Amino acid sequence: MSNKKLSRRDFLKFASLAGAGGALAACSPQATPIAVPPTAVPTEAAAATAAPVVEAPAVPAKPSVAPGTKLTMKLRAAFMPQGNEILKAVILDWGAKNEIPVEVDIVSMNDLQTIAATAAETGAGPDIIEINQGSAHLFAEKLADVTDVCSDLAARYDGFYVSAEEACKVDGKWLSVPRFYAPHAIAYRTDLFEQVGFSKPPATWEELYEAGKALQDAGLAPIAFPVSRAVGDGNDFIYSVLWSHGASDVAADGKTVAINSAETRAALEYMKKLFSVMPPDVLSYDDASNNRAFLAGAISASNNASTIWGAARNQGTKVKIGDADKNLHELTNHFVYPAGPAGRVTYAEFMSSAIFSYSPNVAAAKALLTYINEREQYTPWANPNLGFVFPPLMGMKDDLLMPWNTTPKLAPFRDYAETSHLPGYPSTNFRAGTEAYAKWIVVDMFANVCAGLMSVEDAIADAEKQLKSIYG
Amino acid sequence: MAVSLAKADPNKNSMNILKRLSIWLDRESVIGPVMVAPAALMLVVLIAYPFCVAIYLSMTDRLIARSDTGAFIGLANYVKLLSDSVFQRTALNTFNFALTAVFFKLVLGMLMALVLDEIKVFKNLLRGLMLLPWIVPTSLSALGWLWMFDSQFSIINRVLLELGFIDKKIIWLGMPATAMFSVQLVNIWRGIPFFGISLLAGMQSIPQDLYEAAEIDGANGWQKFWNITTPLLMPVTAVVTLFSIVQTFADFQIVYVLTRGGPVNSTHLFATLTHQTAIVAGKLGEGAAISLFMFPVLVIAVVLQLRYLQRQ
Repeated sequence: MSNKKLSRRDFLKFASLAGAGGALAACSPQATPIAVPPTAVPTEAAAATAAPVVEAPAVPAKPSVAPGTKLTMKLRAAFMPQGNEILKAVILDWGAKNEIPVEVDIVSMNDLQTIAATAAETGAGPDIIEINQGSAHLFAEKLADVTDVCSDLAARYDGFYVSAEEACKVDGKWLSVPRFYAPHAIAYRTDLFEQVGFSKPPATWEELYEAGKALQDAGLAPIAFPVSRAVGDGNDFIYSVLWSHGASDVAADGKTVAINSAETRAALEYMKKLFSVMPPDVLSYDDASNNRAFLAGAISASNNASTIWGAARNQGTKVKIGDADKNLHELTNHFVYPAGPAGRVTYAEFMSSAIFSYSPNVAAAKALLTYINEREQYTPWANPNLGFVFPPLMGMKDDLLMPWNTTPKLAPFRDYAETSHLPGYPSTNFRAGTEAYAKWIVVDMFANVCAGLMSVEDAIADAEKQLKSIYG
Repeated sequence: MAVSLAKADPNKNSMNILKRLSIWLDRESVIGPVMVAPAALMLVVLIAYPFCVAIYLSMTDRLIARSDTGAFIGLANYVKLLSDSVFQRTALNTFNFALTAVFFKLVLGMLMALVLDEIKVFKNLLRGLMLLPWIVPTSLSALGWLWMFDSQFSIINRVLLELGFIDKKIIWLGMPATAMFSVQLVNIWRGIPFFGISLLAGMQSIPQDLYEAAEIDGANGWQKFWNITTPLLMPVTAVVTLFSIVQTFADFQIVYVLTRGGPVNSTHLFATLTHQTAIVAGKLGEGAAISLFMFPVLVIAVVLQLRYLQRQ
């Protein structure tokens, strides 16, 4: 077990860093015990103090893998490298403790989709794979039933959010274990917003437009939200605008296409208006464009996970204010997605861990997925990810080490998952919803209108026709 | 003789087998197929078999990752696609993309070959450098171009602005026309060296005395090019163009990296739409049908070129 030494040392090192990060929070009188050792001493005794505080209800038989095989997995790379390292160390450590050879591969999200499709289709590949959005509905027949794992976790940590269930539960069975949301909020420049009279961030879409208009009139850096095929940011923003206007692509029955509605018109008209105060290049944004533009001081607000602020802080990005160089991260804060006529309804950028049913190691995979989703492993991993990962279990967001509880600027991420949904909402036809999402139909409808390629009516008619061939 | 052989050593039988085998293998009708077999096997396993499966898949309503193999629906996928606005758009895009790009690659590649043929200093170094766009993995160079087309920080915009050619930034990848132009530009940039170096090799096999004779007859540069270089280079040009048409029609990486088929499907090609439909949206049957729409076009291209080559 050459892994053993390395992984434990690494694990403890990172865990102690994470613990140091939350030191202030831990001073609060209500500090709940957290399974992070205060000092990192690489001995068996120290490892024992890291043992779960909340005991698992029953200790199952020691997991094992089929002879001659390893437990293999492909997981999504998180934004912060430390997060990936901690996750790897935790898994290797688990493998060492249980004498199970594990192979952890951390890959980018775009690759995961193709790997998952190929593995599901050919019946060969990793045991565990992280899939995004409603993919569990696409691969349903090839995934192992993980209802026992999910029920156990749900019972211990106050249940899963609705959108996690939307993504992972197919015909009453859990086919994938909810892993994390990449939560979104809107990063904005407090200094610029204050200059145009917004000392409080916008609470509604209308106010967001007004702020954008004021910034434009004042000749300051504009607000900029992707109206483009940006897999994360584009879908997140566009679906949120659509839904919070009370519109949706499908009705609750999962069959009737509902895009042709007064609410959709209102959402499109709003976006057209918003587009008039944004730089036109939002039509070509990819997931990194708004990060770059914000870090360069070229825009004053955009939707994102906490990565813009995180990068500004980690890289010490400066921005010129008059003659002085200021730290960008100090001028940056977040606010929750604004509410529309239908309140706040947001898009869930979501990952879950599925086990392929072809795997000879389903039992071991289940044991591992249970383990890494327990609070003792989850929270120390979520902490250094600075809000890039948000727990799907409702009982965990209040953990003191969660970034939004340690860092005031991340507070707007705290209630993220409460209002979030998956494409296919408000129906339960997430298979078709995922297809409509994969074909960019809703995003394109908005882009058509903003780019002036189609009138509102034509764009709706075009989307309606395509949606009918999916939901019909 | 027969007696002495019969008396020979006890290994006679095995000797005979080896000898017979080598005689047998010496026959052209035997050694030929044996030598071709590995390549043929590879073609069957890696090309022919998947190809036949794709044809079958395209006639089913098969979804990805299902244990049932889908119902046989004949040509329904093809019929549906023909009336699908996204597919129609994609078909037009693919032809526009491929024909424009191949034309410019041919013209500019020829130019490159002619220029390289004239340059005598640092010959090998220059030729090596010219090949770079073609050697660098496409997905990497496409990422470089993504940065150059970035709306905010585009070096292209910067240069055009500084030179006064434009007065506001062009959103290269955000509007249909400029996005198509951009992906074509990258494809052309990447493909020129393939034409250039291949044509250069072809040019160097043209006997010099033809040019000398033409010079004595008073031919100018253009006449030499048109009456000697072009016709004698035709076989190479035909083959290179054939390869390029096939490759350009099936291009995937450049569009996938730069635009994902957007904005609003204006740069979707058969290959990217296939990926989106079959892999991301999970409709294997429909995806297979999209990819097979490329097939007749490529067959026509191949047949035309091969017939031309045979006539030569």
